[in-house]
Amino acid sequence: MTHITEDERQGLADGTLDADGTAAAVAHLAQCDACAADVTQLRTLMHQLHDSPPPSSPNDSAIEELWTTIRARIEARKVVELSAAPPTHVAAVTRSGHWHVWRVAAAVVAVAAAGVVAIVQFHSRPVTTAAGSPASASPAASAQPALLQASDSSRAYQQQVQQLLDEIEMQRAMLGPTTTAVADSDLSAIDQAIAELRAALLRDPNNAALRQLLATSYQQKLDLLKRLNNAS
Amino acid sequence: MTSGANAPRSTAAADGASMMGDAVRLAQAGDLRAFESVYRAHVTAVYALCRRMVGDDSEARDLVQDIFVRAWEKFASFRGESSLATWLHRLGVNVILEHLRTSRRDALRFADDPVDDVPAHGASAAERIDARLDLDAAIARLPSGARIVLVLHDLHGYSHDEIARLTGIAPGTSRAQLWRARRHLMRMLDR
Amino acid sequence: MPPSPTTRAASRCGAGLALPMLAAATALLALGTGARAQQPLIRARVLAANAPVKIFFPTGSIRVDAWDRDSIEVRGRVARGEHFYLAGDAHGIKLGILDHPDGILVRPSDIVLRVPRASQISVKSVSATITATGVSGWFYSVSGAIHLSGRARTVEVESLAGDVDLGVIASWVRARTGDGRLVVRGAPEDLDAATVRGPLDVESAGVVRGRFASVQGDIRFAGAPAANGVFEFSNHSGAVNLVLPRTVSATLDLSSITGSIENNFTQLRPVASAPAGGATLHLQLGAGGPHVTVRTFRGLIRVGSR
Ligand SMILES: [Zn+2]
Repeated sequence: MTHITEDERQGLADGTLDADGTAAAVAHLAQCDACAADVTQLRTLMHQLHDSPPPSSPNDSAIEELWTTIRARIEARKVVELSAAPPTHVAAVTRSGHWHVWRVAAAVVAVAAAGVVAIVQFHSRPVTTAAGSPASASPAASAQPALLQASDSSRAYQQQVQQLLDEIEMQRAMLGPTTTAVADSDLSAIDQAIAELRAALLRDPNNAALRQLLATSYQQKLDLLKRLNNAS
Repeated sequence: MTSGANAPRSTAAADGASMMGDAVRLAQAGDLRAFESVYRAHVTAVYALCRRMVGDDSEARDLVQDIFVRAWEKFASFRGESSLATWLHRLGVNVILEHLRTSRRDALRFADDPVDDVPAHGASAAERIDARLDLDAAIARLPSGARIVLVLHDLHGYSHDEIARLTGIAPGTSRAQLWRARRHLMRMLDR
Repeated sequence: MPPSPTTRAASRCGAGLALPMLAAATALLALGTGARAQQPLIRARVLAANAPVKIFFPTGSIRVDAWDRDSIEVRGRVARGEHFYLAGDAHGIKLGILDHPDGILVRPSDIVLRVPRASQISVKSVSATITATGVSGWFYSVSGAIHLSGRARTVEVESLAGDVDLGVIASWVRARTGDGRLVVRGAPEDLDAATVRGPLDVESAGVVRGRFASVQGDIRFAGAPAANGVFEFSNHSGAVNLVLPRTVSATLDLSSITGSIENNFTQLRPVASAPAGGATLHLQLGAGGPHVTVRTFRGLIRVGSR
């Protein structure tokens, strides 16, 4: 006797098996205690999952504490948004609630605005080129929300880049000199592009094409760092 | 398990109240105190999602912060087409996946690592007893890829196609992960 | 099949896996003649149709072909002193050549794999040449060349310093190179291709949604954009060259911040844009249809026909 497959067991348990498959599988269960027991156990698990209460929530003081940090982070961010100075040290509250100094380029934050939309969308798979179309980059249409998003994604971006750089630094030795040289040249090519685009945006902040190009360059850098990071 | 039913199961009751509607509008206009009431109404559900997705309390709390900070920034884009609870839930899932993508390199890509089995630290007898008592503890001990799929599919009703879209893994991989997660759970719950 | 299908040996870390595999590989190697630099290898296992296959293959050459059977087969030659491993069960396999923990270079091996057509492959290599036909998954190499062909569902290819050549028909393709050349043929429906300094060459009529980017490499696209297509090209200092059929229908939005635009298609001249120089050009060719956006910082944009 051939037992039913894992496909069929799981499908029976959660009800996703089609009608024909179910009929055949049920017929087998009627004559096979082993499979019947297995499916029953899976079903019990499904019930247990379905009936499980949500995990116990944080207590009142934890909820207060969390809010205090969230509020501080929101307010710290406002400072970043409003400052239009060239790259400076800007104080921001980190996740754990401690004050920490980040090297945040405020100018970039403001400037990356429209680009951020594209950066965020870039992650979703598969690609939807249409979403990053020039319409969404129109500065007049989306100035305010875009600015708000910019600060967040730009900070998240900086954090992500820094984290990757730190990890790569540790792996440098394992990459071999040739690969390291290639990667360094690639990185500096991207950094140079980013610098040029940022300078150009300072002169012409409403240029949608520039914003898109900058967003693409940021994404290129992130991509490359991730690729490098995968190398070891 | 139908597709499209990806609203959190425990939709906050406060959502429908008109008082909350006012708070939402005020918060969208930039009123931080109004946003605070939104936070209070939804923090439990958001925390529950985080806790289950990452399996760790302090990581979950950090994510709760991230999600509400992000919610504040994106609040203008909330148009009331879905309920606020659903909107926050989706935003939350995205923030969590983003976090996992960067903090656990390859957690999603190699979510299907066939050789890795139940986490090594789940081995001690004491922990096994613990796990038997507590489904949540067992979920927390799942490998992260398997856990993500299980939480999204079995607890929040996402389809494999939706999970695939969110995480970048193939729908077939999502399915395989789910089965693996359930088998792990069964073993940990000692059945 | 036993009623409880998931009874795998728990082995989380590489060492746990390495030990039994080492023993197996050593036993296998002991069968060899010992005189040759490479030892013959043949393995086969039952494998579910859509099972994941995770491969680590540092150097040499690896070929992965799809076949319509529910099994995996590995043939080839393993360099003497290197250890081949294969672990897992019908629900997933992990295989490859073990890395030396002390950092000693792995000697090149050559293997050919056949896997079920629907398997989800991931191949990671350092300098090995990867060739695959008809399979889906993730292909990564630090400096080796990657060639993919045949029909696949989704394909993701990443290289740091190697060349990549894709001739696949797939619904979704993502490809990245650094200074290597990236060539895309075949018909990827959704294509996201980027290089940093290497040239990007696309010759395809099947792309519906395409995103192409480089920093310094020249991008060349030759083909007929699909009627409902959306194409986006970005380059910093590299050029973007569009070679379109004479009778093409498309809407083109071209802009270069400081570079220039060459229109060899119609009489229309680009508009010089203030303040930094540069140019923009909007072209409506034929009845419109696919939308093509090209942006460069200072790279030349050229539009012409075959
Ligand atoms: Zn049976």
